[in-house]
Order: sequence, then C-alpha cells, then structure tokens
Amino acid sequence: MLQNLSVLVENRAGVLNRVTSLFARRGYNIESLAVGTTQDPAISRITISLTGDEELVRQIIRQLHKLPDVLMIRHLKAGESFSRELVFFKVAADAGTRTQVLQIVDIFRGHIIDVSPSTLTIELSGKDDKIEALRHLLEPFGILEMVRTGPIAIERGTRIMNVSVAAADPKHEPAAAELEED
Amino acid sequence: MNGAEAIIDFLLRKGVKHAFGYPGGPVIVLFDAIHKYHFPSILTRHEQGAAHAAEGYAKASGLPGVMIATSGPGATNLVTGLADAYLDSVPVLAITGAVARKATGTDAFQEADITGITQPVTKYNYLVMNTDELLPVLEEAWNLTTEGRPGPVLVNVPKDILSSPMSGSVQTVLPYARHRPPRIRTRALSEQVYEAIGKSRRPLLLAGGGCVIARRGTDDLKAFAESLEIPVATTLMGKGSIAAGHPLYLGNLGMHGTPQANTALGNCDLLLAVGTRFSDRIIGDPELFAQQGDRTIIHVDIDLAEIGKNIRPDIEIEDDAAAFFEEMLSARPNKGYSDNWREWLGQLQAIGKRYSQLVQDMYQDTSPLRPQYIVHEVAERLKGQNPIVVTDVGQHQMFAAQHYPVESPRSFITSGGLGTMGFGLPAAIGASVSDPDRTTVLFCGDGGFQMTIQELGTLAKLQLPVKILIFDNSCLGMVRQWQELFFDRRYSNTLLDNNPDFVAIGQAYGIPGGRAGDGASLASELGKALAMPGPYLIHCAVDPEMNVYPMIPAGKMPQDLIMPGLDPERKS
Repeated sequence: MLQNLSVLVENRAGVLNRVTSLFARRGYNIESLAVGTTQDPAISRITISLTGDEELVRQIIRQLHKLPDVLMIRHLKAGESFSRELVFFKVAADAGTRTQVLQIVDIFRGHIIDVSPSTLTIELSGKDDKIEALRHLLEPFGILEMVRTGPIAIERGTRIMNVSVAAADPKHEPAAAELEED
Repeated sequence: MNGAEAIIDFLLRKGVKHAFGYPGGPVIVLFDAIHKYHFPSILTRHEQGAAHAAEGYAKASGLPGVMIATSGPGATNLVTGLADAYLDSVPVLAITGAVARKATGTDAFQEADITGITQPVTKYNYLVMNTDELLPVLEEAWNLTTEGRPGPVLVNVPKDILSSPMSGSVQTVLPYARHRPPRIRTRALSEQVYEAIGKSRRPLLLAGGGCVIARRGTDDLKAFAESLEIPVATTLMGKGSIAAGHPLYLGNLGMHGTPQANTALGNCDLLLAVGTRFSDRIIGDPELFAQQGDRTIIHVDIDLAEIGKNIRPDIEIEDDAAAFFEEMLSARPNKGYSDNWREWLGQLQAIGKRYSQLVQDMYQDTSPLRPQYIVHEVAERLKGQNPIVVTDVGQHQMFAAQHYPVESPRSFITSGGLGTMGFGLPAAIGASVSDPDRTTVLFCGDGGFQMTIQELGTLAKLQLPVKILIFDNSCLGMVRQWQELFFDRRYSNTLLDNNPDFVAIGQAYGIPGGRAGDGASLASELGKALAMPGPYLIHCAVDPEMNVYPMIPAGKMPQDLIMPGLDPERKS
C-alpha cells in the first residue's frame, strides 16, 4: 500500500541527492518525492511516497536516520494525516468538446488555467483517487500532458513536526544528544 | 594560518601520529603544511596503498586512520579502500584536495566529483565550499569516523581554501539537534533475553566484528559466555574476539567455517547474534535461513539499520557489544542454564574433535607445500608472541582464518565485506606502523600481491617488521576452485603462468627474502625472517590443486557443508 514519510532535513548541499541515492542503492522503490523549504529556511521537508509494507517502512526509516542531514522522520499514516497532490492536465479540447470538459472539471472543483483553440490546461489538487478519477474521465478526450507534484502530507490536529517544538515538548522524539545521557 | 595549516594543526590536536598519503597539484599547499609542522605523513606508492594502510592502522589500533590524496585521480584511487572500510566498519578519515572553487564543475584539470563518487561508500562526506566551515566540518567528520558504528568519512577541500587565510570565527555545522527514536537498549530487554536463554536447549552465541570493535567487548564476551557455558562461533570479522583454544569456542562459521560452528548455526534453537550483519557469507540465503522458523533470534547491533535488514529477529537490541555483555552480566539471574544444553554442547564438541583430527592431517610437510601447513608452521613459530596477522583475499585468506589461532583481538586484519585483493601488503604496513614492536605477518596470494606490489617501496623505506609469505599457486586460487567445482574445470582467466621472481623483486626494493619449497626450507626461511628486525619476503610454492574446505556452496545452508573425510552423520 502507499505510505507517506515526512523527513525534515538540513539544507546542506546535495542533501536531496543523498536521500534519493540511498533509496536507489538499497533498492527501495519510491513512487514520488516532493521537497520544499519549511517555515525555517534552513530546513527542508521531503515527503516520500512509497509502496511497501510496515516492515519496509521501518527499514527505510532506520537507514534514513543514519544520514546526519536528517533531523526528524515521521511515518504519516492515512487516518492521522492529510495528503494532497497538485496536478496539471493538458487536454485536447476544441469548440465541440470544450463544454463537456469544463463540466467535468467543474464537478471535481478543478481550475482551467489556460485555454487555446485546441487545448485546455487544468489544475487540480487532491488525493490520489480523485486525481485518478479525473484522469479516467479526461482520457477519452485525449490527455496530451500530465504533470504531478507527488503528494505532500501533514498530520491532523495538534501534532506538530517541527524541530524547535520537538525540543520543547517531551512527548516528541527526543534529540539524539539527550538519548545518549540516559 | 592558512586552510592547509589549519587541517594539519587539527590532525595534530586530535593526536594523529601517522597519516598515509600521496601528493599532487592541488594539495601541494597541504604537503607544504605537512613539511612545516613535521607532520608524520607516510608516502605510499599509490593512493590505494594509502587507503589500505590507513585501514590496517585503524583495524589494528582502533584509532582513526588518516589518508591524504590529491584531486581527481588521487581521490578516485582511494575509492576501493573507502568501500572496503565502509563494509568492515573501519574508522578512516580521507582528506582530498579539489580544484579551486571557481573551477568547480568546469571539468578542470584533475577534477572529479569525489564527493559524488564516494557518497555510497562513506558514512558521510563533505565538500567544503566556505572557509569558515573547514574546522567545524573537520571536527564533525572526525567524530563521525568512530561515533556509533565506525566507518570512512571523506572531506574534500578546494585548493583555494587550502591556501586562503583562516578567519578566527568558527560556525557550527549542525545548529539543529537530530531527533531519533529512543534506543532499544539491553537494560530494557535483558530479562527477555534470559527468558529466551532459559527456554533454549540448543543455543549459539554468534560474535561478529562488533565484538572486536567495541572496547572491552572481548573480555565481557568471554565472561558472559563462561557464565552461561554457551557455545560461541565467530564470523570472519569476529575472529579474535574469543581466544582460539577456548573450550566453548567452535571457530568461524560461514562459507569456509568449521563443521561444528556451521552445525550449530544450522541446528540451534536460539541464535544470539552480537555485532554482526548476517552477511550472505555467514547465513547463505537469508530467505531459506528465515524459513527454518523453529528458532529464536536475538540480534544486538549498534547500527539499528542492520537489525531486520537481512534477518528479522525476535528480539532486537540497539547497543554495542561491550555494553550488551556488561549489562547482561550485571542482570544475570542467579541460576544455572547449561544443564539444558549439555548434550548439544557435547555433540558440537564431538564434531569439533573429529574435525580437528582431519585438520591435523592437513599439516603435512609436502612438496609443493600445503598452505594449511605453512599457516600452522608460522603460528607454531610465533606462539606466545601475539603477532599481527594480516591477509589479502582469496584461498590463503581462508586458510589463515581457519588455521591461525590469533592471540588477541584486533590481531587478524583482513578484508571481509568487500573482499579486496591488493589489501594485504598496504594493510600490513599500516598495521605495523601502529605497533612496530610486534611482528606483523602477511599471508598473501600471488594474485593479490601483484595488485599493490609497489608498496614494497613504502615497506623498504620504513623498515617495518613485516614478514611476507607469498602463497604462489600460479593461479587465482579461489576463483579457480569455483571453476573446478561449479564450472566443469573451465579455468577461464585464472592461471598466472608467468609470475615474476618475487624474491628478486623484493631484493630489487632492498627487502631480503628467500624461497620455501618444503618444510625444511620453510623452517630455515622463517628462522631468517624472524631473526632480522625489518621486512622479509618468503616465496612459498604451494600446491595449485589445493581447495579450501570445509565449504558451503554459495546460497546453500549450513547443513550443506562439504568436508571430505568428515563423518556424514554430523548432519543429523
């Protein structure tokens, strides 16, 4: 099944490469990987989607923890987190089919971001099943391009993934230095 | 102080007594600082030699080994040594020069992306792109070599940083704490472990390289094993973690391990594995091994990522070997266990006895010489002197592992995980540099010796007490053995029928030596070798048909062990 891992990393040179090459080297298959800065510009958050069982996820987390750049890892489970992805479709649509496509996009609360005599460009965000459903409906018209960001995810409620909060909150993962003292 | 001087000053402050290196354009400034500070950097004859020498130094001493190389080809020549150190958890620090920052990425002369190249074979590596970062990076890199599970770390420094003045300000590299899940330590689980031990009728303690690496680990291992009277087997990397003649010791297990150790592995109902990563040379096929479900596996390792990687244990403990044994001893319930497995221990010891008779038969003075006989003779000759034993890779390595009873931990230096031919000679030099008062014995094949033969120049210069025994069977013996057994004797590219006169080569470098073709000449050559303080080279013509047994074919189970002459009922 599809699993999401959120990884906070320090913005050092080559850190994304270190993470992805670890996956390649160990033979882990990732579906997608989305990366961006956090509220602290020195820290990036990587959301990794992968197919595998709990056992594999455990092993991957253990390997990732060995990278000094990695500050914190969370396995974001379906019921306890939200996950969304952004997608662009460029669909073949002329005067004859444009209205039909617009209607479908409307049902999905998608946006038309560009139009030409022969194409429509659609923006949609949502979970994987919603994106797949729209894709299925657009296919008969002719999907010329599809661009996906890969999902990003965040936990529900008061759980916060933030190294400064974690440092102040004993319920969060302890810092490695504190662990050495016990 | 410029960047180069800051690096050398840093190494001196860390107490580095020796480094191994090779100069080149971008690191001339660094070697100028070496000159200025009288820093003891040893010139090898090839950067690969520097890498393996640093490994030998680190493996023998437990201290980080330091290697220095120039950019491009100098740095790429270190790669094999770094990969070797990565698989065998050897703490080494590589410092390489890089092209100037403004030339980075332009395919400048002698530019190679060594940080990119070595990323998969180092614990971590750095390209220093900011003068202020240099010292904090060195500090972090130094700590990483030995922190947790030791390993290689590389710091790549552009040549303009080497020559630019260092500002006084030092920023830290890691302003953020790293968050890790709480460690699953021995303390929390010792009771569970004793419970599993209490239920066991056929236990085995498997001691890996971690038991050699962890400080105090070996003394505690012995005390722990004796307190339980539990049989102990070692991996190749764990050899030396318990005294060779100890009555509970079954020897090495794995592909060329002893029948008693492999019988124990194949039939145990409790496997207590400490400081090992369950490599395929130990357990064969992990899936097949795991299917034999009737056994409890306890896996103790300092590297959590090793636990569950190849074998899924029932109890996992993230601790180093020393801490584990210490904690287990202090939590020891006041009761006996060994009555439960007296029969098991007896069976294993009986197999061991039959095997040792077969082994005695191998120690025959023949011409050409038997490799087993040579190893045995050298061991007899040096008994009680606690030499450092170094090997290259191949048949002779396995013969040395099987037949040399090393006397202390960190005294059997071999390339285990990567199996690097050419490791032996430079590693022996590095090991000897770390402890020149002990004799270092190098067992080396004729193939591997020719891979780093140029280091005879380094050895001759240093005049270290390295006694070289070349096992010359005029072929690449281990591959030849596989071709004989599994490829219908098609000896494709394994015959070395125009080997040079090794003794003459040694003499050309100023290293004395001689030839041994039978027991008498071997004894005489060994006498000469040990009578002189410096290096000596003995060329041994050995039986080219000699195969390494026992052997478990690749991917097979411990029960599938081949040992001609051994009672087949052992398998029951």
